Amino acid sequence: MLSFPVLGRSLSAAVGSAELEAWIRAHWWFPEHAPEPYPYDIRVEELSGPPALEAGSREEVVQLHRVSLTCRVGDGVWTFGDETAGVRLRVGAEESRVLLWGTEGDGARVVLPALFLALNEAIRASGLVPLHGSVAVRDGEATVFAGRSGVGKSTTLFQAFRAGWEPLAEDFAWLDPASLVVYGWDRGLRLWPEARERFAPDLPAHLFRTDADGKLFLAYDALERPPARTGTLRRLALLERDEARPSAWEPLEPRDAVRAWWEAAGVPLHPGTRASLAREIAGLLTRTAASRLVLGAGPLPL
Amino acid sequence: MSEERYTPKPGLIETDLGSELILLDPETQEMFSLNPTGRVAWKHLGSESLSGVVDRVVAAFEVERPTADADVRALVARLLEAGLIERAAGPQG
Repeated sequence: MLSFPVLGRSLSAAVGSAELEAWIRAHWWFPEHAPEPYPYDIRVEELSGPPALEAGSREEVVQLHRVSLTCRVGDGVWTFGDETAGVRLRVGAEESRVLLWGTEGDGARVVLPALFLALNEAIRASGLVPLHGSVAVRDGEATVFAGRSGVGKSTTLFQAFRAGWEPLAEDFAWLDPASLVVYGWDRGLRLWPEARERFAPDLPAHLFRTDADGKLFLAYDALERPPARTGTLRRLALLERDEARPSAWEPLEPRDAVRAWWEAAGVPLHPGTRASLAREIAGLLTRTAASRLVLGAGPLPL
Repeated sequence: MSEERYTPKPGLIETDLGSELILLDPETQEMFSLNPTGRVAWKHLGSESLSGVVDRVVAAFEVERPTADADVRALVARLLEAGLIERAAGPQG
């Protein structure tokens, strides 16, 4: 049985393989984050076969960043896959349960993305907000760099790093909306070789390793001064690339700020979690700033 | 008095900023922004007749009824075009 806290929530996993345990640890074990315990349990259990089909369920397509997953939706229950391999998520007010089956061999291609989504959803249901974006910290205050895929979130983070900011997350973070604490949820910076040549030719090559997609990875642990792993949210910065304009901070209209928050946080599966997130986003607009950062001509104002 | 009724599309997510209401359709990822008048109208559109919604707008903003009626009808037309509401079944005035 694997058991550890995830941002104060209790995660336990009764799974049959060391590989699956290792996958869970790789994505969810961040011991540097140890907030106060929060009364929410997330239980993962591997079954020998599929559970019975839930009556009255309907089919729905769910988007997980660049991956589309088909599932059957019941009352607080989502079932991914089929009788050979799949994941069932049941979301509750105090606990979420995740059932897995058919995890070995080809089944992993179905199970792992669905398990990732299920665990994300469970943590969302406990009150935290996922942030798809890069995050940098200055004087303890965090700025989330958000925007469409390819706009330059990673490159902007790297430029902020070179300008003296601390990198907190390159691609993903969790926000506690009650405390505004942002928790970095990755392990280093990733950037294309051209960006390294442009922004960090002085950093030794041995600090980087090349990932399967060709990006260079610089572990936070490899930095001379390990950066902060948390920060207090101060601002959401929506990145907009426009070489015809000077690089600058610009105001962001509330409607555009709301859109940016929803795109950064994603839309939860559970209707109750959606309503909660809508309230949180409305509150975040009054408690934090929202700006547009134009990635244009000239250096960024970081 | 118009007894037309409309029902919101199920599943729409409302982000209420107080003066402005943003509707998000998770199916299409489209967003629709409502100004203060639209916000008040939207809050009552699913539960009251069109004339009742106009009454609410008149009371909230102390405007003349013809103005409120025109504003609400224009909003309903936009919401229908955007697929965010549909005419409710049953007797319509």
